[in-house]
Amino acid sequence: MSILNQIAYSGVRAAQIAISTTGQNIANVNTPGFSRLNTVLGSLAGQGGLSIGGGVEVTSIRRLSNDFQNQQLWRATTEQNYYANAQQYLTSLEGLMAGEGSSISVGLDRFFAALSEASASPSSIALRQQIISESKNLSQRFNGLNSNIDAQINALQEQRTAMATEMNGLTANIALLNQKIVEAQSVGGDTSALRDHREGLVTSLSQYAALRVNEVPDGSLSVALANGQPLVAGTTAGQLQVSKTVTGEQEVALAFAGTSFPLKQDGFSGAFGGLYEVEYGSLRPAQNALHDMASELATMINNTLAPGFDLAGNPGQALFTYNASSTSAMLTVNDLAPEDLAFSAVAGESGNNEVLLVLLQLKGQTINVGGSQVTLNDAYAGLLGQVASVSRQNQADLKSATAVTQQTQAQRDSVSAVSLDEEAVNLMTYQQAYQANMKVISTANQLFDEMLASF
Amino acid sequence: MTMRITNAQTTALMHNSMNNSSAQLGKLMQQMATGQRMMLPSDDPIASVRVLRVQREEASLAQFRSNIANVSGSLSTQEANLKSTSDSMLNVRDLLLWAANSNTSEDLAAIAGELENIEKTILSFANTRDEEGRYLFSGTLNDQPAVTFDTVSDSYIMTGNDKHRQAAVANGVLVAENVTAVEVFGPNMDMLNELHELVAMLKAPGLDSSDPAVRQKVVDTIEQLDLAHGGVLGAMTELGGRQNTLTLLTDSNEEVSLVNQKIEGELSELDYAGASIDLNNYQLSLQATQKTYLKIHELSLFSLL
Repeated sequence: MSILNQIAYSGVRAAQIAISTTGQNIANVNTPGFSRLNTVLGSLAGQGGLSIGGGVEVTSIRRLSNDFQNQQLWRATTEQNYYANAQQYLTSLEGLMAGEGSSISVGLDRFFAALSEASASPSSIALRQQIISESKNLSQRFNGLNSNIDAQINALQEQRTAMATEMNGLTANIALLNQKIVEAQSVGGDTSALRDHREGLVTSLSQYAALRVNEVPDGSLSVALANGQPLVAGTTAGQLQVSKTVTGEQEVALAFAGTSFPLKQDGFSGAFGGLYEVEYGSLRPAQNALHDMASELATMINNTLAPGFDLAGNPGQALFTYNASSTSAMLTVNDLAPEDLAFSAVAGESGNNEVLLVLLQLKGQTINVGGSQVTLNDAYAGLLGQVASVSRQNQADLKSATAVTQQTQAQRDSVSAVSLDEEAVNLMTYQQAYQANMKVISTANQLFDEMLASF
Repeated sequence: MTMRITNAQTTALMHNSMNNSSAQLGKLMQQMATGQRMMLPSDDPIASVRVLRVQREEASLAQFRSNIANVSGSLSTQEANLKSTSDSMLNVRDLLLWAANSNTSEDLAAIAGELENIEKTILSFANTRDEEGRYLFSGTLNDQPAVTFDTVSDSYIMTGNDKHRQAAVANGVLVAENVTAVEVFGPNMDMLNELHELVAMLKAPGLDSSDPAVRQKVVDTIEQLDLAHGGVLGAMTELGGRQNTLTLLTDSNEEVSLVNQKIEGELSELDYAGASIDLNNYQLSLQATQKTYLKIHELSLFSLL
């Protein structure tokens, strides 16, 4: 075959490969995490003395992926998920606290209103019954809100366990892909699809925790937590283990290559770190504040009633019972008859309301909640305000983290994603090249035929 | 180097901006449906806490309104009973004056019969009970009569006390809710006892109407009656004064409540004018995004191949 034929044939083959590459890119235009491919061409040297060259060859199929951009995307994903995951719980918490039905503030208002109503007729059985009803209502609000927060904590713990399982699956798969990539790379095989897949898994993993990722020369990725504890090294993957302590809290440990060590959750970031932050920054403190309030309320009311006398002239009995170890029965109303409320300061004076008036003043008395002196109502308002502020700040952080993620995703896509217009141009360009090379072959054949015909 | 724009980017951009506009529209519609500016406390943490405080004060004020109505009602009942007592006492006075000028024992016996009835009436006024059976004028011993007739000593004795019951009617303001028979009639019930003795004297068979002791008893009774009447009028004045205080407190409570409602409105109510402008803007931007996406979509080179 003539040199011209060979040159043209190499052009046809190169164009075919380039068209296939374009086809692969177009096929994956909507594949998440796909990194577009680029056909790299090089000219071939000629064999003879005349330096016209030997045509063209495909030197490589380049996968357009920028490690720096990937790292940025992972970091942004981590940050966004940290705030997003905490936000679910914050929104629920503030919704619960502000709801008319569970608001302690409304309950306190009604309880004190019932006391106030009875101040003019302290011996009225109807009004006393109303006080007992409102006491029950108030304690129900305390217990209801406390139980709801407890349900949130339970849901959160379930989510933490599920996340650990998910993360373990991801690290195991990354380790497996490491192995495949190292094997393929060592024999010069195609690793593009494997790498796309592995980057996707790292992106998924980065939702849960801040990661340190770096590629080792053999092609495997090392993945560690932000404080250096290893999740994946070569073909070995770590396993997160979540266990429950006697106090009902969760501990996290990392088992890696036969050893297990405890992990501090506050440095996790990501969705996993967000859970820790919301559990220990908002949910549990809110529960503690409720316990403080319930305990102080019970003590205050009971202590005031104790020196008083009921309608029968008997000494005062406690109205509330506070139970520190219970959630759904943290604050309960004792089984008192309306007559048993000790509103009188003098035994036998059924129309005496002096103790009742002292009870009314408790509304403005300060109690100790979380170390600060506040009135009951202010304690609740303060708690709500605090949760609202944390939620608001978190929403603002989530908004900017989301914007950063979108931006880094756009930067990554700018380099690695497929542009159909670009591929259309490539398609036309290589189609044209294919046709032109075919034309060269046909011209070469024609020349050969003409030469034969001249004999 | 200019940025490569890929299909993934355009799609993401459209998704994000449409999601954003839709979320904002959703929130705005929720706000407009409820008329509330804040859907959650985090929409404005400081305003939420302030609203809570205002609502708490409003709850107190509403309760004070109810308490004032109760106290005022009770004061009116007491006042009405005192007024009736006063009327009865004036009747007694007329009868006593007649007795002082009467010379026949028949007259005196007739007067005695009438006085005896009024004596019982006055006693019943002193022992008035409310709808739940509590004695109005017994002080804090309101489960027993204010005045009891003691058959052993054949006289009236005080069985209530002179304690006032304070009711909460405004922030930090207590108003006494009752007057007591002790205040009105004196601790020894002199007037009723004097009257009782006089009736017994006048009813006695063979009464000598010219006996100076009879006249003296009548004079003494008038004296005690006037004293006690002064007590009744004094108590009525006192009740009237408290009613005035309650009216004043009602007014000031109303004023505070009005301010509170205004503050709560400003803090929590939606500005509909602003909201409808926002609604238009978000709708416009959503439509613009949608149209832009359609245009960009049409621009594919493949549609020309």
